[in-house]
Amino acid sequence: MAGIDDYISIVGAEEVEGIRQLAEKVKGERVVHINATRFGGGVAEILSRTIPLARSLGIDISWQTIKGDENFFSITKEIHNCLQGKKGACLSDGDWSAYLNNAKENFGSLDLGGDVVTIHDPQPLPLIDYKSGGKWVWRCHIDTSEPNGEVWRGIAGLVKKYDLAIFSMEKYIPKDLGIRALIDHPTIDPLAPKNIGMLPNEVQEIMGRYGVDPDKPIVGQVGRFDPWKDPLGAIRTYRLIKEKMPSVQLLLIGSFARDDPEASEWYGKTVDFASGDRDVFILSNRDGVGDKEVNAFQRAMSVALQLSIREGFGLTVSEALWKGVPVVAKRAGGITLQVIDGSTGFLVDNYEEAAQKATMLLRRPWLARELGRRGEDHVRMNFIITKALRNYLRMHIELVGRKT
Amino acid sequence: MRGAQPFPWPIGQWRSHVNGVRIVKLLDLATSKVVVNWESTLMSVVEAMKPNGTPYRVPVVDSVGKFRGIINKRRILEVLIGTRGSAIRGKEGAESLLTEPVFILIDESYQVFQEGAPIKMVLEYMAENFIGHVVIVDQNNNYKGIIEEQDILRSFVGTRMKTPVEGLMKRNVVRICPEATVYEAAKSMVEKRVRRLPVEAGGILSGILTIGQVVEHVFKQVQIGRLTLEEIEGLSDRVEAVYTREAHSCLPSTELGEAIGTLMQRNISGMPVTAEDRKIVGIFTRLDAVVALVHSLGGEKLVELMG
Repeated sequence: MAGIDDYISIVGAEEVEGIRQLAEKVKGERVVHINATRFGGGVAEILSRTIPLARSLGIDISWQTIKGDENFFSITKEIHNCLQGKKGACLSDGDWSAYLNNAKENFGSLDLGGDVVTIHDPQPLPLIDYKSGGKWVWRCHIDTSEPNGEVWRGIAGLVKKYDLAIFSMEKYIPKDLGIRALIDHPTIDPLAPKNIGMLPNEVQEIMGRYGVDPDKPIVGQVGRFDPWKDPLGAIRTYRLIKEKMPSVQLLLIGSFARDDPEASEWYGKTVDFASGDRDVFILSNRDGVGDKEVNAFQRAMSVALQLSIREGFGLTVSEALWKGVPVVAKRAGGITLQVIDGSTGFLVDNYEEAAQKATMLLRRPWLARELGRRGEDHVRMNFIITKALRNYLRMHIELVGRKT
Repeated sequence: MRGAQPFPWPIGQWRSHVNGVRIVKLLDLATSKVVVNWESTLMSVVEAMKPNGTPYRVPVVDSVGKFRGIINKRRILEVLIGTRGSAIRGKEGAESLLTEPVFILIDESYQVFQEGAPIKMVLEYMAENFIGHVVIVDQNNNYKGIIEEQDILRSFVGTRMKTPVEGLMKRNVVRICPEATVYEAAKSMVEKRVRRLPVEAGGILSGILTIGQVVEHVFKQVQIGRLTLEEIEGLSDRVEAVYTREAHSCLPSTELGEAIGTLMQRNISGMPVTAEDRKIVGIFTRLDAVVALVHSLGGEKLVELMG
C-alpha cells in the first residue's frame, strides 16, 4: 500500500510536506469513518485509498461498515434514488421503522468513539441518534439538488443533528439544511491498482482473457448497473456508432455491491438489451473483474462513455481521463467539472450526439490523443487524492482544534 | 462590433501576433493581484483585502511560490462569526484566531489550469460550471496568475449587446432590511452563499450591503474589543449603519452591454435588478455576464473578440 512519500513523484515534495504539517496537528486524535460497504461504488473506492494514506501519516483512523439485510438495503437504495430525484411516495411507515432500527442493531458492534466521526451517505445516517461524543459529520456523496420532498423531510431531522455536512457540489446543498456545509470534490488515487500505470502486455493479456479483440476499436462505460448510470443508453449509443463503424466493441463494466440490491435486476436488463451481441462485453466482479482489470479495460478504450442521468460526482470520468482516454458524457453531477467540452472530451445531450462524437474520436486518433492528454493534465491539477486529504485534515482541525 | 476600450489591457508577457491577428494567451488575461504566503496570519490577509476595490479572493502560495489554495471574504467571514474554525478559537476570543497561519483555513481550489491551456477551454469551463475564477500555474505548480470574471469582461466594456438582463439575471434574491443586525446579515451571506445583499426598505430597493463591508465591520469590532464568539453574535450594530445607499442597479430591460459597462466602470461584482417602481426583481452579477457571453457567442468567438 502506498504511503504519503510515494506521492512526491506525482504532486511534488512541497505538497507532501504541507500535508505532513497539517497531519501533525491531527495526530493523537481518533478518526472514525462509517459507510455501508467495503466494496463497490465510489465511496468504498475513496475510503479504501484515503484510510491507509491517513494511517501512513500517523493518524489513528478506522473504517467500519454497518450490517443490514436485503430488505434494509432495498429501503436505503430507494432513499438514495429518491434523494436523487425519484418522484412519488416511496417508503411506507414500516420502511422508515426498519431504516431507523438498523442503527439500533448496529451501534453496539461499532466503535463510535472518535473525536470526529464521519458517516457516509444515507445508509448509516440514523447512527447519529447513538452519538456519545465527538463531532459528527455527514458526508453525502449523492446528488441532492432536486430531492424527493417526502424522503428529504424524512431524513432532514437526522441530518440536522450533525455538526457538519459535506457535499460533492455546491448545488447539492439543500436549501433547508440548517447546519454548516462544506464542498469537497471526490478525487482519484493515481497509485491505486485501478489507476496505476500498466504495461501494454498486461493490458493485452487481460483483454485476451475476456475475449476482447485488441485490434478492434473499443468504447466503454464503467459504473454500477443502475438506472441512473443508464447502461442501456450506452448500448443504444454503441449501436449508433456501429452503423458507421461495424468493428466497434462495447465494454460495460459494473459491480455488485452489498448495498445495491438493484444491481442484479439492472444487470439482467442490460444483458437482455444487448441481445447476445458478441461485440458487447458486460462484465463485473462476478466475472473476476477487479481493480486491475478495470484499469486495463479503461486503458484499452479509445473513448470512454459516461451517459449517466444523475451522478454524485462521476469519478470514473477522472479515472478514464487520468489514463489519457477522452470521455463523451452527459451533463450530470460533477461530470462538467471533469469533461471540458471539446478539450478533455465532449458533453452531449442525447445518444445521437454521443454516438457522433464518439465516432469522430474513433476516426481521428490524433484528436482523441490530444483530448486525452489534456484530460490527464486536468485531473493531475484538480482531482488527485492528496487534495482531498488536505481538505479532510483542515476540516478536522476546524472541528476539534489543533494539537500544536 | 467592439467599441471604446476604457480599460488598459492587462499586463502579460505571452502576447503574440499571427498574420496580424493578436493571439491572446491565458496569462494575458491575468492581472497582477494580491497573493499571500500561506504562513501569513489571517489578520494580515484581512488587511490585504480591504473592501473597496480590492479582491474578493486571494491566491495563497507557499514559501517557494507553489500554489496552495484560495482564501476569500466569505471564508474569512465564516471564521470571524464562528461558523467555521470555532474549535481553534482561543478562550480569549476571535482575535486569537486572526493570528493563525492561513494555511489551516484556506480552501482547496479545483479549478487549476496550466498556463498553456487554451483560453476557449477555460472560458467554457467557467461558464459551464458557473465558476468565478480559475488559477493558472506552470507545470511544477508554481503560481502564475488568477483569472476572474472582471478580467474577461473588461474586453467588452463599451460593446453593444442587446440581450436584456431580464433573461440572464437570478430571480431568487436573498435580501435584508436596514433594521437587521450586521451579524444576521453575515449569517445570511454565509448560509445562502451570497456576496451581496440588496437592502430593502418599504418594499423597494434602499441600497446594498456587500460581504466586504461586513468583513470590515466585524473585523474592526474584533480588533477593538477582543470579542468572544458570543459577543460577536450579540453585536447590535444595524445594517443601516453599514450599507451603501447609492446602490447601482439596472432595469430588467437593461441591455447586457450596458450592464457590463456599469459593473466594470463602477467596480462592483453585482447589482440588484429593479422594476420601474424600484421593487427588487433580480440580481445580475459579473459571473452572470460571463456566462451569458460564453453561451451567446461561444468560447471561440469570445476569444477572437478579446484578441
